[in-house]
Amino acid sequence: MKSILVVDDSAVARRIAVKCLSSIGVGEKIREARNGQEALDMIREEAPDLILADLNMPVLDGVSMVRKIKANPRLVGIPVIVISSILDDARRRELRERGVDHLVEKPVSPPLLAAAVEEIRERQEAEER
Amino acid sequence: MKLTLDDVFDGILGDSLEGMAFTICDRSEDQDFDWEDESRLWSSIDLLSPGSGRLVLVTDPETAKSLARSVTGEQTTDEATELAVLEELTNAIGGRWLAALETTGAETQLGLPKSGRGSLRPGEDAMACVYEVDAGRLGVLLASLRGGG
Repeated sequence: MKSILVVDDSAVARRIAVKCLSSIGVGEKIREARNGQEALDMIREEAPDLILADLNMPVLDGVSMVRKIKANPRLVGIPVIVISSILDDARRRELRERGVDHLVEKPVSPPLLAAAVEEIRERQEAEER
Repeated sequence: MKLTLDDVFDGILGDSLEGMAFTICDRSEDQDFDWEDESRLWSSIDLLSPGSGRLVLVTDPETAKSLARSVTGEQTTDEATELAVLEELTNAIGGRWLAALETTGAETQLGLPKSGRGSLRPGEDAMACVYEVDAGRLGVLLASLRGGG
């Protein structure tokens, strides 16, 4: 996972996510988007290997962004980790149904993120075999 | 559902501050707090479901700076970063609190966080509580959305 896109309207949250990624040695190229629409524009230019996304964002929220990504045959394979404080049972179910690969509750930490990335890697390797 | 600043809230606040800012947080024995101090920094978020209200975190500039340093890991911060950190804390605490209270399977709904500097006059219906954090003191207000915060 060399190229990673971090999507969050909070600059602080993006900074924390980038620091966590750096501390676990993931992502040679990390780009940042401030909302779902900005992320989609950046993904169309260059598809990342992994997306880390918040849910509660202006312009285009995280759920709508994931819906668009997973509806696009060219982008559907990009793993998405949702990082959010609002992960009640109903939302977890909805996000799983929409194809979100992993859910991480805020506050995010390097061990939580490392576990999520590792699980996605293992799943990808199993699918390749 | 009526929202109250209860033990559930205290647990979420403590976990969030410990997880994000590596700081211990406890209810203060001294609940006196000058909410109307013009130098205060605040952040608020609307809690829409389950229950409704507006959660506001209020603190002094030094405590905000200390929290921002802990969260970002950077020694130099500016007011914009300190307000953004308060917003992120409010967002995390509000969302986790609502998710913890949700028992009916309904979707948890949260507004977008806002922040600023200046005095706040708690409405008559607002609940207020003061917490001690490593860096200083943190005031928490829970107001009805109609009454404002």
